[in-house]
Amino acid sequence: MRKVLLGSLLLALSVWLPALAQDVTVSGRVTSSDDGAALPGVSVQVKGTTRGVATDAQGYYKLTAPGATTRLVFSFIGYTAQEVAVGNRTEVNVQLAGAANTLDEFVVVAYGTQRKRDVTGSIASVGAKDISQTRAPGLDQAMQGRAAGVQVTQASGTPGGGVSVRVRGGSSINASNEPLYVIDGVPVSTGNTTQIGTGGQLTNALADINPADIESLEILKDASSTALYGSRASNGVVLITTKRGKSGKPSVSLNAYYGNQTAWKTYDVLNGAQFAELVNEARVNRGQAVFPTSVLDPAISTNWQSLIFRTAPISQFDASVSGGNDNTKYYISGTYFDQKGIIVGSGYNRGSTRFNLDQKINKKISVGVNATLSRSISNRINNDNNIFGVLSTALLSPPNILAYNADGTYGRRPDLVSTDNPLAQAYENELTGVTVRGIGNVFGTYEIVPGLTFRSQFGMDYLNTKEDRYEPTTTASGASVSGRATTASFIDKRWSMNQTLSFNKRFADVHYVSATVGYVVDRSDSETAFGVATNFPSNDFRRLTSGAVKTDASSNGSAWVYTSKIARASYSFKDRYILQGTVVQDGSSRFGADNQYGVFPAVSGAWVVSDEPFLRGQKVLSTFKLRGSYGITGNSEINDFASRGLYGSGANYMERPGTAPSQLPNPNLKWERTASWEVGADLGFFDNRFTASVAYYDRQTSDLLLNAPVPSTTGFLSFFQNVGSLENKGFEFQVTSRNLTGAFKWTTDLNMTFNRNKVLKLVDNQPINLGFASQIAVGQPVGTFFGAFADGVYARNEDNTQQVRNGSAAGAIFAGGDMIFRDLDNNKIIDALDRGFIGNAQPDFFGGIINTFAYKGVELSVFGQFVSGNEIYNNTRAFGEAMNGLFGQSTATLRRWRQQGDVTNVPKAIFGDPINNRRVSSRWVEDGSFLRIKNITLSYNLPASLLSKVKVGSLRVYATAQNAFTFTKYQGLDPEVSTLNGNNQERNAAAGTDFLTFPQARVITFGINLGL
Amino acid sequence: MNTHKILLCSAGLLLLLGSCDKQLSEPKPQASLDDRIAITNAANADVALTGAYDILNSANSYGNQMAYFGDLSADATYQSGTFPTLFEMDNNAILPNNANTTSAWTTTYNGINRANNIISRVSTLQDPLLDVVANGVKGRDRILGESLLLRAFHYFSLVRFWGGVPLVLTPTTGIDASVRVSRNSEAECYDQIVKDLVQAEPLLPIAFAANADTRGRATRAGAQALLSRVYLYRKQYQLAADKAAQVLANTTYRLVTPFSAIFTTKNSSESVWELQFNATDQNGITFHYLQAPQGRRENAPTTAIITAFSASVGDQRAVAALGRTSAGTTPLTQTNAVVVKYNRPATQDDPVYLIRLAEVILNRAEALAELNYPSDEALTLLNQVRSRAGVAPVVAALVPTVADFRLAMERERFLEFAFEGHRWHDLRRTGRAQTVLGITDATKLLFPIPQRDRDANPNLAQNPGY
Repeated sequence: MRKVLLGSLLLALSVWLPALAQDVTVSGRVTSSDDGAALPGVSVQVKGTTRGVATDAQGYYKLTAPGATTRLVFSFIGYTAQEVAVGNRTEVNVQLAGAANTLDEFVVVAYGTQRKRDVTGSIASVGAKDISQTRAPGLDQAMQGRAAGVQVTQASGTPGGGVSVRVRGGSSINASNEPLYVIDGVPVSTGNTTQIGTGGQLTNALADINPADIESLEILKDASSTALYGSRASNGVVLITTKRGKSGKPSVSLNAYYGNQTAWKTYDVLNGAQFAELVNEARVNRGQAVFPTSVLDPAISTNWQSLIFRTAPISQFDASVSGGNDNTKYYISGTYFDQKGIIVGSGYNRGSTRFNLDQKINKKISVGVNATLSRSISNRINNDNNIFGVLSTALLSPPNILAYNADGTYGRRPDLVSTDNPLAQAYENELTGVTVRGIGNVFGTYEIVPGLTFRSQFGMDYLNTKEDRYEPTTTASGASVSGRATTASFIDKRWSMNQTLSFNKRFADVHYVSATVGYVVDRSDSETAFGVATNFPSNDFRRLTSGAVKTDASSNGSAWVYTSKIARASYSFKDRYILQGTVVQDGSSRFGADNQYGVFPAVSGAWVVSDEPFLRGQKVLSTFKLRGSYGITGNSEINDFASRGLYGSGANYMERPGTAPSQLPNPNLKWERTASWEVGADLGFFDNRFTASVAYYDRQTSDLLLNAPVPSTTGFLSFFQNVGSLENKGFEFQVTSRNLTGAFKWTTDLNMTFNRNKVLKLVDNQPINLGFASQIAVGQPVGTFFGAFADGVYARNEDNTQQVRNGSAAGAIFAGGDMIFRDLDNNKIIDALDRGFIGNAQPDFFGGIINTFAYKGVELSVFGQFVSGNEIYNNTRAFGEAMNGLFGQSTATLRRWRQQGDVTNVPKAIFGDPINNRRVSSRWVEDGSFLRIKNITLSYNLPASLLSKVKVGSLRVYATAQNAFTFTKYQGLDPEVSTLNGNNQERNAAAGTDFLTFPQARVITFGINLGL
Repeated sequence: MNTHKILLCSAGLLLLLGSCDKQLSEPKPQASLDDRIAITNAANADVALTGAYDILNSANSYGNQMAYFGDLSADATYQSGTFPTLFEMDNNAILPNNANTTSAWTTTYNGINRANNIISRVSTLQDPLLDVVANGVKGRDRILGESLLLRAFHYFSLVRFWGGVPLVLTPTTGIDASVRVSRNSEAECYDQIVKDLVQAEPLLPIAFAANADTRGRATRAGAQALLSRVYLYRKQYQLAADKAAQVLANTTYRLVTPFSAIFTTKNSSESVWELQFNATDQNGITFHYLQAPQGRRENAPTTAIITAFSASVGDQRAVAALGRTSAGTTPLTQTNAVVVKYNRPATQDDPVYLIRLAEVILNRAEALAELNYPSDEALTLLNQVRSRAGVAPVVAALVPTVADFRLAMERERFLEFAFEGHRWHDLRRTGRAQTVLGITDATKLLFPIPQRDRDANPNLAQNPGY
């Protein structure tokens, strides 16, 4: 009862307060000066107050303004804001001019917003329209190709799978290189939540976020803009702002699309007869008897890939309603996304809701809430480096095995290969992961005195992933143990708190001062549980309870705490000279007792040259701003207890508990430190018809948290310590050119980044090997491949003029048909010393280009994404062209050496490959450059005149082709690939490795956007 | 008024600062312990000892690969699967970065550090429970003895594959220059192994209360049996014969019949030291040897061992060791043969014998023959193992010289311990490896020191030939 009373009181107060002034009602319509079309969603603000509304679907607005002296500010992203005096008018119509890069728009920055003019660092923005056009299932994919300095790589085509995002290059080797994601002020958990390995492909917690709810993504790139996130800022920060209600009548939006996905490429593999011939040739070459047809039947020719790939549907439906009045604003939405994978057995779907509310209690106090709840279900299949994988077995199984036996059971030939039947793995295995997630926050602001505001926010991110797998007896993995069930649960409870005090004041009209101080806490407590049982009564029973033998049962928990004291001060003189300084002190539970706190300062400045008197009056240069920054940020994304000396449990023997040393202590362990500077400029020409933003940056990372290899004679393999350094230097630019602006419009956006990464120091400068062929070495970029240099194939025995031997002075002499490996030390022996850097996964440059054509209501947009100069280690070929056993082989082996004198670059087939022709070498390193037409969208906005008759605000229909074309020399299924994702080091340094990985699909979708 | 408000908010902010920062020290690992309080009393010293045993069960140790190395490097099995690193081993052309030999090396040193931690701490622990006598020995002595035997066994494993290795005898507490150890000589390693075993022997119980412990853990007979083997490797034949005799005199240990019972029964009377597996502590041996769906038939029997078995008429060991990839009556060849000595794919808990009695018998037979030939006892002991397998005895006339006896012994060990990891070492210690295996390059009789360790430790010399 008391609550109701209090609520009523607050409500009464909120209704009463605005009525105090002498209000006048103003209404009008906002249109675009380009084409006269209505502009919905334009913010109409009473200057100097927080009172404002948004225009409706037809561009109309209506608000009450306090008196005739009022000035209204009309602002809309992508348009020049206008300030209009109301005077005695009751109707104010406004035409806004499009301007892609004006300095007076507001952008979201750390713990607040800033005018673009005042921004002294590098911030890339991706708007709601870009996101919806990309049709990206996840917000991380929505950034791909759209922001300079940001490289987004989808590790595979696994629905809901991992994506790596690098802002201005990876700054770490062992700690995470993913940016910090902050949604409406709440830092959220990212990364993998699965505990059930299926090969290299993991899940991605960011896939839980509905991209349709996002108003904008701001990617903070340089030290000055990220600095307030101190020890979490080295990899950049992605600020996600969700949609909010605006004053006005309810705006309803209904969107739906449906499409089909197909594999755009498959490997060309040998048929049954070709394969049998190859195998028998390999056996003869090794002095072994050929297989009779009873063993290897050339007449059987199964094309496994055609059986596991499928045309798969993808669809989404979402609806939202937003609106409100001067005091209360709301946004509610619901969405359902469903994607089946192009490989049988895989899929992902997500349902989510969102509720955002802003409530003004009185002139000084406002409160609000943002909440989203989602549930996603992922069905994954075994893949990658896994003999029970679906694609992997489809590629590795010989064609001479029947897909199905005559009795309908799955065809298998254990006497030939250990791989399972791919169809059994695809159709029979069951792996379902259900993630339930709630992200929300409540916040309140209190204006203590004009210009001084206290803001308090409490947020939480609750995530639970529950997984169940059953491997039935119809699969090879389940058969040996009469069925195996696995269940796993992961819960992450993360809460955060921001308390900030902000001050803004303009003095004498030319001095503008703003400052923010605050205190921030972020804490995560996570829990895992895992169980495995085998020996099931039948496949009708699929839960642990029914398994006779419980082979694994475990649960564990972990936690970390992070606290931060932040301060930012900014001074602007005449709105032209801007100086900003920030400093934060961070504390983290992850670090050694002796180094629990770190201080991260940054300074930056900007000069708006174009506002100088000497540049006024000219028509060419409409915007010119120079900026520069220097600062120090940190990275602490390592294990929760990396600094402690530990004895681990679980070292059990004879069903008795055992402990064993698991980690050496390092009380000095501290943050990785990245010192970076940048200089940049924002330019606009011809009334901003052509705009550009360029920046050069230099990021020096030292005190790298290296899990450095130590002599294993210590009983340990590695030791976490702050040694090592690396650098990223680069140049990036983003240009927008409105080539044609008449009735027919043509706009081009282009962004490119040239990043140079180099490892400067390691522990004793010893290289670190990882993955199949990757090495971290001083002087080389992270992601370098290391191996032998393959210079072709000896056509004849006598071509090995130096009588080069394999391995040692007593080793076999390379003969005709063997690979020519370069003898680097000229000692006539090919051994470990004859290896070098054979490529690297870092591109020379990458970027995106978007061309948009519009005529009346028709719009065509073509989005190309490109990566150039990187290499891929194609380990799939190292198996598919090995010709050393019974794994399925690609048609490249048809060019193999068969007899003395054959000139080719494919060596001879020989069972067991005794001389190791298939060793790690440049033979498997390929150019990974590609240009991908990521997205082509053709849309039609039905004319308003037609729609108003049926009382529809807007109606847009469109067709989209994603991954429409890919231009690449890469021989694998997809040049955008990264198989190895087991840990941070692999993700960072063994990138660009391809081994039997799920490729991305070509997707054709048709959709409709309806506004009421 | 305004000043008050500002002060109030600032004070509130400061209060928060103080209270929340305390949380920084709150998170504690829940499945690990601070290493300083890990070994402080009798109970947790025993828990750490269990942890030291655990390493042997690792797939990188004798839970799989260190057992099959001895067959794959030699002529008992060949690489029929897909791992390139195992092809290297099969071809006796192992590269220094070979993942299998590297993980065997690193895992073994992990086991040594576990043992060193206990050895260094147990003598100074203040706990009266450590002085309680059970199974005939004080708790403190037993823990020390078991740890010493584990350490000796690990060093023996290393020296057999790699030759002289660095002797690390103290626990690692941190990383500094002192961890860059150099290699000791092979003789120094053997001296340390013998020293540890001799010290451990009297400290160890003759038997534990439970049979599974007697078989699964270090006992006095275990120390004696291992000493007999080590002395044999060092060609100290009298010592080898004497130590073997001590085990043979112990009625806890008897050969079981039929031969196959060794691999179908756990903790039989033949077992001197047997790694204990169960449903929650499995090994991947059947997965390694059996064909799909039970496994991947990574290694398979060679023509050499198939031929050797077919020459041994009525040998029960052939049936226990060799199976077929598919039913039929076609002659067994290396294409269709499969290792079936490990036969519990459903539970994957096959026993692994570190030492079984048949070996101790053959150790004594060999030592006696080397000391003085002809030796009736040597022949009797050899035939004791043969008759258990159902094969005819070797008569003295067939082995007139010690050289003949050596060949008979070599054959016997080949068949008796097929796929139990002995072959490579037996051929190496008798100097027969190059001849029998056709290895032209003698340097390949030692594995390469793992490159990762040489990268991390410049003082670690590589074996010649790599």
